[in-house]
Amino acid sequence: MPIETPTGDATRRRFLSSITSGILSVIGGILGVLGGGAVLSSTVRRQEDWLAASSLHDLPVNEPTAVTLSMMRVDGYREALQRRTIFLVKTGESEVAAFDATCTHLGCLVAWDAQGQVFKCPCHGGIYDRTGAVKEGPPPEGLIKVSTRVDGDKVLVQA
Amino acid sequence: MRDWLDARTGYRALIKHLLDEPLPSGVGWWFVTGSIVLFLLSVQLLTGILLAIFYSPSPDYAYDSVRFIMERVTFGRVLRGLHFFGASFIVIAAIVHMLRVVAFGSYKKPRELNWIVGVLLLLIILGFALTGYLLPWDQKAYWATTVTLNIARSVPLVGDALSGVLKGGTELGALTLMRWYAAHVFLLPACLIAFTVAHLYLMRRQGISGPVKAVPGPPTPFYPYHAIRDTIAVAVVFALLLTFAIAFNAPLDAVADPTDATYVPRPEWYFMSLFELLRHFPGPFEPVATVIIPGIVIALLFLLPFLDRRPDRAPASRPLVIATFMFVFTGIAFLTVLGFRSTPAPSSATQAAARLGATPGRRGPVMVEDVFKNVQALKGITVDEFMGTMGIMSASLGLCCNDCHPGAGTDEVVWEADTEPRKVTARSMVLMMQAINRDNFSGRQVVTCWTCHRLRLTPVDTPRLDQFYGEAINELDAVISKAAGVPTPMQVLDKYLQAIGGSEKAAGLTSIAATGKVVAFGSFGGGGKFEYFAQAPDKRAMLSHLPDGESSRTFDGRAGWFAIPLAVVPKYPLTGGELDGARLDAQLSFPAEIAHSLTGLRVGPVTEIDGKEVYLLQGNGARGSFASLYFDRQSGLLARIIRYTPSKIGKVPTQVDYADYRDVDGIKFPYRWIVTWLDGRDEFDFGDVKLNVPIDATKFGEPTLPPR
Repeated sequence: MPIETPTGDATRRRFLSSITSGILSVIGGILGVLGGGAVLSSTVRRQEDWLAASSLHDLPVNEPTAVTLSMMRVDGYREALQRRTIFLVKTGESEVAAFDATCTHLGCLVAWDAQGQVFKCPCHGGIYDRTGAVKEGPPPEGLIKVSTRVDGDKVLVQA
Repeated sequence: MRDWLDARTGYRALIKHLLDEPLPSGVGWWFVTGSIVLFLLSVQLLTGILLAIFYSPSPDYAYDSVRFIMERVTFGRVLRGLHFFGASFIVIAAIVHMLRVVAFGSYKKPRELNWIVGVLLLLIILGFALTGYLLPWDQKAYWATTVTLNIARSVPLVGDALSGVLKGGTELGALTLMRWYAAHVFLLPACLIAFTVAHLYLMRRQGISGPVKAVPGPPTPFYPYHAIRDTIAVAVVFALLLTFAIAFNAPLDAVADPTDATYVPRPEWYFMSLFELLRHFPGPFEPVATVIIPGIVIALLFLLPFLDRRPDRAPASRPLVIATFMFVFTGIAFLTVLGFRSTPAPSSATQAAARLGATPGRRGPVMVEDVFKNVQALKGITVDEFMGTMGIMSASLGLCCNDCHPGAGTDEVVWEADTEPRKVTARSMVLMMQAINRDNFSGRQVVTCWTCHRLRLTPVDTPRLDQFYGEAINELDAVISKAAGVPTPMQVLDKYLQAIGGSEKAAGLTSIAATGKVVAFGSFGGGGKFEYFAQAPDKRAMLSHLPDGESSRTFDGRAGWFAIPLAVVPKYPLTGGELDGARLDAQLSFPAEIAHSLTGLRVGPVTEIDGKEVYLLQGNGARGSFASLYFDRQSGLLARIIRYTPSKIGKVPTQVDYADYRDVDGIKFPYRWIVTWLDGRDEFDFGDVKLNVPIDATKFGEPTLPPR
């Protein structure tokens, strides 16, 4: 049976087609925005707390000391205990510097080599000096500094 | 590029074939219903995928993940709204589509198979609605599924097996949730897509039935002449659905509580008729409502094209079919209305919670996240339970509020601030404790703050030899077992009733109204006057008028409230364990009620209070609460009650010591009470005590506080 293309026609057909496409585009757009917004939403905001990391008198002067911090972190809809290793370096009577122990190359944990007086990454040979600056190897930047403050005998770090 | 693709796939021809479907002349707006259902199914699939990105199908996290979607995910509230309300829209659209097919006689030869596929699709849609119910793991989810499982069990012969398959384990729990989730997101979508494709294929193969009476004229292509109608109808439906999703929160009750005997499940409207039907066929007749009547309706639907085989499609010439459908749908509508009328509204405690500002659109008690900021490790519990947990921490470590919340007790406090590292550590400790109990004791609260801290900030880690070789410490745990060589519970209670004036006098005690002086919070709260009211069997109010404001605990037999001056939350409704505790307090106010208020009564070993030997009688209340009653061994009088209510990090004890018994109208009544709980200690000295007097019911209701 022949299909009738109503009279008028190419114009009417184009008009109806464009309205159909327009409405469906709006619906698709709304759903796209809602879905895209959900998928791209930055729901995890980094939290930072001042955490007690050590007592001041336990730290040797100018000798990096590894400390593992345990902290509650929001992981979506749950809270998880996260651990983070940092190095504390007592640089004065009541001054302490802190570095994150994560190598800036590919994320392995560095260790303090007391003999060579450098931080060494076991993965790809990155080497940092006592101040966290890159000495050798592939790391693109120095160890990330962590804010510290001293409250009496307590060394607090912002992590 | 398109040419290249077309040369290899022939997609242009396919699109042309799909869009240029010839439609008989006279196809009008009645024929948009199928497209609406198809569109809504697509929206459900899309929003379902987006929700699945954030949802966690485990009892531990399901509820939290749904709350996370609602509160933290961008557009999460709207997406869940689209999915939730979309389910109702689909059921309506599918039924309207089916009624259109019936009214137009479109199920008739040669479209019988497509009708059967359509009925299967309707059942799949209802399957989606049923399995989606459980996923939020809230009260409604849990209890509605419990009812469903019991309905499945009532199926003759295979009921137990069917219920077992649906449940997955011995209890409604993780295994049930996983299999309902798997059905909802894998099995049913696969069936839905397969049958939808089959439905569309058969529709194209047989062609649209068109108007009942053929309209003269050549056929017109589907696109754009009918597609524009479909698109407009879809746009209207979508606008309506979006409005619902934006204007209303998809409901989320309190987290599932398998011990909550007060929750009344109320199914969604599309299952209300079945729910109501069940009421009318109790006991051995249940299968009539659960299997036979629904089975007959479904069987009739499947068989319709074979029962009505005459080619005439006009409704007027098919009165039996039209009348049967009208009868069935009127019946369903009637049962639905009846169901809504006979299911009770939320309890007064819930309504009180709503008045106190719980999240709009969400029924249920006041949750801690609704009131406090920056709650992390103790989310998902009610405010009263949360306050109990704070008390457990401070009492276990010997700390005050301001040790973790600098400035507590003054106007300077910022409760949500994390400036004190001890507060941050406490969160880790809560998590650690829960992990220990979960991983080692199947979630039972064997290890709590008190287990290690014992009023110390740092737990002791080394045995003390002088204690080891010193005098034995006989510390009874909160829960006791029946001891040997002691009287039976009834003997202890009888002696008590005799001691206060006899069981007849005790049974005749129906109300107590008293006034006196109170010293609150161990004198920190100052002195004042109090009023005490109790009405048998279970109403009680203790109203203290203190220099800093009103302090009150009330329970009206169903709902309870706690108000305290200078607190972070001045007044809140009691829920869960604290509500059970308030009920127990009220019941235990009447000596004759004790035996009826507690279950599993047992008498433990003889112990001492202030050098006097006492019998310890213990019994269970509701939902994990229990009470220990200490009776003087010599006089038989009640010396102390400690009642325990459960919380997320341990049991919350509340203790009342009774002394100075005096005679009032032939009944001995204790004129001195010392009430001790985790956050304070109040001393009550009774002055005027009247028994069996009328009491205004409003005394037991929600207390009215003066503006702050």
